[in-house]
Amino acid sequence: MTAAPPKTVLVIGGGIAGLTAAVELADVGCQVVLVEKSASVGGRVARMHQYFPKLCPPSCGLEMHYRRLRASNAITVLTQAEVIEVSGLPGDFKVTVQVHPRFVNESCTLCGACAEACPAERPDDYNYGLGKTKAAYLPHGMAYPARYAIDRAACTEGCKACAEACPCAAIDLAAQPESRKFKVSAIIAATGWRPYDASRLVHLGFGQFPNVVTNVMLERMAAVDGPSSGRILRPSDNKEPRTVAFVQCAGSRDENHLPYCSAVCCTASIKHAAYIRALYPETAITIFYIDIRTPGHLEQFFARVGSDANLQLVKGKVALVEENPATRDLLVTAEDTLAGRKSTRHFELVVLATGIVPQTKGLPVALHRDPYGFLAGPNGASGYYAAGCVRRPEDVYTTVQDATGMALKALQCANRSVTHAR
Amino acid sequence: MAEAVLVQPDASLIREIIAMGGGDLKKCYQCGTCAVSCDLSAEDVSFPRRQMLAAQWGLRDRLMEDPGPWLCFYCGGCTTRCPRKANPGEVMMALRRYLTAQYDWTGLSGLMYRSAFWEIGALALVAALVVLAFVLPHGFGFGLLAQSPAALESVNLGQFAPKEIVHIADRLLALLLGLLLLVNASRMFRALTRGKDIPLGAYLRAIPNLLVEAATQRRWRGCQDHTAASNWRRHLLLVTGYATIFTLVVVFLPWFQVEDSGFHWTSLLGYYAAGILLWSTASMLWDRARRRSEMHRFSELSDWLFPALLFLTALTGILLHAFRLSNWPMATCTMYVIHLAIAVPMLVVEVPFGKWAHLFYRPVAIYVAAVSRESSKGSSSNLGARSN
Amino acid sequence: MPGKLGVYICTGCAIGDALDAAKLVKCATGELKAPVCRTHAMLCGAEGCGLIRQDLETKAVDTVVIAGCSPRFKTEVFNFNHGSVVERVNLREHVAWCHKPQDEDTQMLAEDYLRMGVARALKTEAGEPLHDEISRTLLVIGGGVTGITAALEAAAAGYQVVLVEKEEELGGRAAHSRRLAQEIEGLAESALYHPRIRTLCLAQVVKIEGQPGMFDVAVSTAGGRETIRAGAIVVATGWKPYDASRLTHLGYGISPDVITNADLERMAAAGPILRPSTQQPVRSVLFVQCAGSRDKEHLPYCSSACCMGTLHQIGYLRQQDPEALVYVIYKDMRTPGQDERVYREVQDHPMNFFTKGEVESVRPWSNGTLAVTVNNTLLGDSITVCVDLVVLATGMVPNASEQILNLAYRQGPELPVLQDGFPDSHFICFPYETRRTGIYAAGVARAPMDDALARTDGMGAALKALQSMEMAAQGQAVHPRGGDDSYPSFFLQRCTQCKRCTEECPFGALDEDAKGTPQPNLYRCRRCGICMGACPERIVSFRNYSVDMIASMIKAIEVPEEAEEKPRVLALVCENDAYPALDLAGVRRRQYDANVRVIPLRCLGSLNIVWIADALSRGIDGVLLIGCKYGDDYQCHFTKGSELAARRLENVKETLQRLQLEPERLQLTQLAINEWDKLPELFDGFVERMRELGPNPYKGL
Repeated sequence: MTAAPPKTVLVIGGGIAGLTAAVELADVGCQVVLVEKSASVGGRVARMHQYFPKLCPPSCGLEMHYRRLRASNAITVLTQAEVIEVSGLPGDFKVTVQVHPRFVNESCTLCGACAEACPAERPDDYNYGLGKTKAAYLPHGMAYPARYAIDRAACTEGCKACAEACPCAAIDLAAQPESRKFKVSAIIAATGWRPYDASRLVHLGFGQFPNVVTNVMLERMAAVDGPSSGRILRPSDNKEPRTVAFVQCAGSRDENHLPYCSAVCCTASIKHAAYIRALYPETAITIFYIDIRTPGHLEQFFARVGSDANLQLVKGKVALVEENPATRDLLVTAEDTLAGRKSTRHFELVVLATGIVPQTKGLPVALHRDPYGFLAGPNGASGYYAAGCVRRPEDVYTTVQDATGMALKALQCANRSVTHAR
Repeated sequence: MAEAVLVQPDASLIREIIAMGGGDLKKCYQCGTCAVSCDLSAEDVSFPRRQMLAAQWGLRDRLMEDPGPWLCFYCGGCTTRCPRKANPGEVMMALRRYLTAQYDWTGLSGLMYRSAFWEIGALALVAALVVLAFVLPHGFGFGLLAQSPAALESVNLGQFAPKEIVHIADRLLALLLGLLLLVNASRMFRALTRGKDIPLGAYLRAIPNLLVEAATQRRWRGCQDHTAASNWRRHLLLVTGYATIFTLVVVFLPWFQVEDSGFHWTSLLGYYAAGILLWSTASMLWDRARRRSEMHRFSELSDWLFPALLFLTALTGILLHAFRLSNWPMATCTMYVIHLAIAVPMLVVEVPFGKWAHLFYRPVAIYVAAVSRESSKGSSSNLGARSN
Repeated sequence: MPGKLGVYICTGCAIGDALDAAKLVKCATGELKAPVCRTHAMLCGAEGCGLIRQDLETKAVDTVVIAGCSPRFKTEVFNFNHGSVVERVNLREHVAWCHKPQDEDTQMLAEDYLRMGVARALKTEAGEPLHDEISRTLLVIGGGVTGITAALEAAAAGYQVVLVEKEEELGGRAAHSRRLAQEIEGLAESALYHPRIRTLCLAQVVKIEGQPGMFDVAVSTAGGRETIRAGAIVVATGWKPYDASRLTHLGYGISPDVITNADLERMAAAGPILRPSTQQPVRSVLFVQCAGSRDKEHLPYCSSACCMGTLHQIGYLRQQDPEALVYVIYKDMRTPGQDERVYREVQDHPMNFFTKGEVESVRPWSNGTLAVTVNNTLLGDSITVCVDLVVLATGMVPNASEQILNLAYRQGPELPVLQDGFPDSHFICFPYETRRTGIYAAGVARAPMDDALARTDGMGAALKALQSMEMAAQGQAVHPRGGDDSYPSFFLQRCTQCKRCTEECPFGALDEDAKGTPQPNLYRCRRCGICMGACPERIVSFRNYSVDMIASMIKAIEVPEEAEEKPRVLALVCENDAYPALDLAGVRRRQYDANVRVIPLRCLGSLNIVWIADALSRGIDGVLLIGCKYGDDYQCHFTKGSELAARRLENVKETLQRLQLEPERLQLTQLAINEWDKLPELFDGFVERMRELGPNPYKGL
């Protein structure tokens, strides 16, 4: 292997799109540099409890990818890293990657002594802030790379407790960022998405009332390794909710927020209804929607979950959520557009089905975007390709499809560069 | 299941509403955010979503039977929060323009709402007639040139515009416009009550409310928008100013129109009216120009003209008064003609055919909505709930 | 050849605290006769690895057993790239972290795992990967949007492509679409003149034999019949509209003016849109969405493309008549993602009318129009609308399961279908995989989708196909065991022609000769081991995974005498889900009964019932099987491994009763990887039930 392998592809983003692209490219004979900005790969998918429509855990598919990453020499995974510079032309890019220090090296054995000794805390972003971790933390149980990390921003000044506690001498609190250079033939941007900031939906009460949560939070609440160990509970009093409202299009299909449809929220809410039904068969669920969008086979999932007598669908968008301060119950107002009646109903928990915002921060070059900020689709032999939710709002299944397709575009660049070199 | 209704969209209706300011009408995708955002919309007779839909589909009868557009006071919450930027507040405004045109049997209203040419033209025509009445020799048996040129050397307007004649004329005009308005309002009433079985008692019981509502427009106070309360107060003041000057002109003209440069106590009331009218209309125009609140963001020509004319009427009136007190005959006479050439067209055009009419239509709609709701309580066949 | 065994015991990460390392060493050197055995406090460190590497380099050792953390950790560190056998024994997650430290039972567990690990290592053989002449030509069946895209993109990556189309020209349905015709013509032209693409029109696949890397595809063309050697196949055979004659309730057939969206598309591509009955321009039209889709009586799925299709078709109408009245009756408007913009734009036209509703009837009305009655509309009532033309937005039916491939496979000529005529794939994780290795479905043949998605899909399927050829060239398995170069070998002399393997292989890898002897096609194999589990004669084995190997591991378990009151439970678990789940339980320090011995299997479907017999006859009190969920929403990556295991188990239970053993001694549990929290309870409960049942009467016999 030479210092500059001829068929190398840079994949930016280690979520399901980036992982898929990386593994697919490695399996077709490419070298891959996978750059992930956080401390572990897996992205948003790693934070999900189950996929729709099979209601199977994402960690199962991720585990298969991780097994490939562990076993394959073809994929270089760089976490806490960002691409800071790209120069050159398609087929022959030179990229510089800045790798931020993790402060924990490869010797870490996951023994957890550092976290035990650590006095400082940080918000647990894996759980969407629903809990805290120590400043010395393992991103989550299935994290890859399986290594602790130190959040220096959260550290108590001058504290060295973790380094002293580590039996493997794995902690170096003075570690410095390093810069690595690669020659690559193509670049896949798979930087994914972030949930729309629900606190901007002022009338829906998020951030004002504790029992208004977002769909991504509910996903964590349902997870066994989540903040409530898989029990979906009202944040205000940790009680099992007996009535739950789902507010669809919370920010999506809305010219004041996200004008496009986020494509996954309908099926996600139906999935969440299935979680709740499985946990609490008596709980009554209402989904307020404009159009239920469950394309393809997802329709059958909708039909199955939707046939439940305790699940009610109301065509009408929730435009107001208020709180009864005494009970912390929520008053949800919507117009049932089929019945022509506007009404206010009580719920113990309200879930906002917030949408998908493309995550384009940290891309090293200005890529063509559509009016909504998503990266544009494949365009010839530009050498840059976008895959997954940074290209359009889509579910995991479509993202995997997309990432596989973009892997072929990257392979074309890689193969062309090999041909030219010969 | 009720018998299926044959639906035939009225294409001209849709185009008219679009032309009258409802251009974003078709963007609505029926989510109901507007009805929830609306502070005035009730649970069973919700709006504006249903009106948006009826208008989108061009359902004339349904719109005509619906008091909804008049129950809206344009708080603007619906428009601010509409996820499709379909602008329901302005569509409701356009619907009111459309309905005003529909109630008017002469068809003039519709012409004027649809076309700036017609609206300006109508105002100009009436203004020209007023001016001609004074300018044409022996035009109508009185007038500027009917008198000796000496008439222009005195502030005594009676010399060329005798009080008795003017008084008769303004009462005749009030009567004529009132009649037109009444005919239109009765057409509105018939449309609103069509097919509804409302007992007389209900009508009678609701009369006090009707009067209060007509006098105060208190429903407006339901708006939670931060500008609503001050807008309502301003409007109420405007109405008092208007009513004062109306009474002075129509009832007390012989006293109000003073024939020399002296002062009469009725002028104090005139000051009140002029002050209020000047301030309130100027402030309304200023708001429209700034487009800060939702209610003022979109303005059609008709929205500008009425307050502008009212402002000018008040301004010319007070100038006329000042010139007379100053004993400037030529200026007084000229200003008088200008004053009338603004006030009369304004009244002729706006009262039965234009924006003024809302003073009449709104209370009627609120009245009918109240009585029909009362009478439908406990009855299953009501139009409000079309539940399946 | 007996290996030169080296056992390396790590005492770090609390292993040394929980266990008596000296006793482990004694077990290794004494009982297990390991010539080399070392302990280290941090085996994964440079020093620890150095020890192992040195022993390998000096050839003191060629079979390495590392007893420390789970093989899921430190994989890179313990990969010596040496060609030697390296076996990991999980003393950390499965022993030290989840059992009482310094306890007799914990120590026994660790020693058993060491014995089992050594047994496994000694049964692992070195071997060469498969190596054959591999064709790198891609065959694409179907020349529509998806197929042409797949062909062009694969060719652009440098591969040879043969594109087979049954019609006279390329283009498929898109060629008859007003919106797409021009573009598809350009694509078709690129394909026709591409130096690496050979296009065969008026051609059909009549037979496919062989396996990835060496498919022999017989194609009948106008010029006769020829055989093409291809490495992999993309099936892009598209769709047909749902049969509208079944939609009489929506008025189809009552008037020529009730047409389908496909009819409209053809009409629009050819010229102006006219009323079929009068050939006059259309003044009003009503679209019925979901005509036959989202309907239990017809197509239960959503056809995904019809909402956007209708919006485009309204565009055609608008071009010819801006004043025509257009009604759309929908169940839900489905314009996901950025497509919402199109809905918004079309909606904005004054003469377009949208409402949710259910069409009750379509019937002739006065002056030749059609009256459509719609219930439950947003307008609050049932409404009737009179129009010139009714367009039924019918859905898509895949062309994927009938007379497409004509595979000369023992398990049948076409791609297996799970539901609704779409080839089965693991819907989420591996969207392109079919149950026939090297054959990838794409476009609407695979799932309902619009043309934009079909293009990406063509690319993705092409990549998977190229990949399967590249993996075949290296003798490696494809996903989900990508990189695995082991393969099953069949000791056919002992075969009894029972055909279980050929029937059960989920991927149709095995054909049969006339007598019923299996004929393996190793490049079709995904290395799940289901054939190995199926075989009653135990003639199937991999060099690193065999019936004998697991049996040896079971034999390595020390079974205490009855008097010791220490029951023994064997847990055979799926290595991808249950095994990592048990690791997670360990990471979280969940404590559970130390009488369970866990053996990971490639797939629970590779469970051979002889292992159960071995275990019970050795006095093991119960056997617990943990696999993935099965059924319609199966989670098994080999589609039906745990389901097959469950079936085999039922047969064994009958045998147990004959042997007067309680069937409760066997249990199969379906468990997902994230259900690690249920494992301790499951283990404890099962051991408790074994205690209640009393010791296995075969103990000590």
